[in-house]
Amino acid sequence: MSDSLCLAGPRSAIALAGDLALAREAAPLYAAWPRAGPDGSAAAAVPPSGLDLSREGKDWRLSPRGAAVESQSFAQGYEACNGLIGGLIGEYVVQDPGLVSVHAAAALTGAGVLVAVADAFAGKSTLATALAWQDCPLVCDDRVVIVAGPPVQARALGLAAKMRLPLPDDLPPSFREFIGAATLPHWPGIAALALDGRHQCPFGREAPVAAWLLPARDPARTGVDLEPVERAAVVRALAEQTFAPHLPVADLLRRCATLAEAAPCYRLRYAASAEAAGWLADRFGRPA
Amino acid sequence: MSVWTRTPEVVETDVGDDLFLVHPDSEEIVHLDRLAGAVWRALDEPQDSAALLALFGQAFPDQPRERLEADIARCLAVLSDAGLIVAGGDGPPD
Repeated sequence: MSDSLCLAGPRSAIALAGDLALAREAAPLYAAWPRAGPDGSAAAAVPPSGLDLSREGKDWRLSPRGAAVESQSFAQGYEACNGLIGGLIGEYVVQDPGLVSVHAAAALTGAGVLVAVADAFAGKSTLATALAWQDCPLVCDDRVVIVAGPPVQARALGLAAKMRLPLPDDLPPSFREFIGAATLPHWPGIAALALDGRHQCPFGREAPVAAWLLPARDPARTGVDLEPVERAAVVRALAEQTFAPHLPVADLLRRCATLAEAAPCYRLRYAASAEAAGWLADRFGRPA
Repeated sequence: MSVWTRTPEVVETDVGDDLFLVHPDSEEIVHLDRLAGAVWRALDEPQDSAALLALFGQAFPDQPRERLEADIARCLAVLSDAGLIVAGGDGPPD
């Protein structure tokens, strides 16, 4: 089966082509991403932007068109769907030299966007979802698009947050209810969340970065603390977690330094995500 | 004693007191702590280890010589392993 689907990019459409069964399976994750109309034809994109999807036995192969990124294979199911989302974000940012994507979680507070930069399995999604639960709308739970500016801003793409199941033991009942009410029953072992407009920023919403956070979760500690860290620590984290194949590495490093310069840098020390989210929402305020 | 020389076309980015370097071929990003950054800066002019030790001995007169020697050796190893500096000919530079 061969077909195509065009999504809106910052400069031109992003085409998904090939076997779109994967795009359909992943659709709940990018349901809020606008489709590109005929005027946003992917054919007009220079260079051609999009992903070619194909099966490789039981795996899926994703071949990006828009950047010097190698094709990747993913196991079928959630892993491939999440890989598709990563590929879409990659194709989105490479269209605009002012954009990068950072492996991070972000939520909008009254002061601006808090961006928690961390590798996989650091609890980013739980923290971002907990902030949404605390009425600080989710920007993204995994790969945050950052606009170089000035001002340096985070841009929401309306992507569904994902949490691994079973949920951590330390989540309070009201947070569990919040997650349960938003969960799309789609993949075993994963809660993909369809949050409402009060709890998630819509596609395209931008707001300045209020702080860079380096999460340091320690179940043994008591209370929550924001400890100022040297900017170099955030530059190093950003350099490790930023995806920007359209930028030479030296430019990427300078970009990371500029981003880190744009907002205060903290290490977030906490034991439980729900507690940390409430504390951060009180500290930075909730959006009006 | 070998003279240490910076690899050409390494890109520097200053972040406060820290320094980040990018190797022109490998494109590896290397984060230098303050001492390693100071060694890198000192190698703006090629120098051997003895000259570096003399320089840092003047800058940190309270530090034991053995400690400084070990620290400088560590920094040179970091920079050399990352291909950011190379050991050249014997003797002091011209």
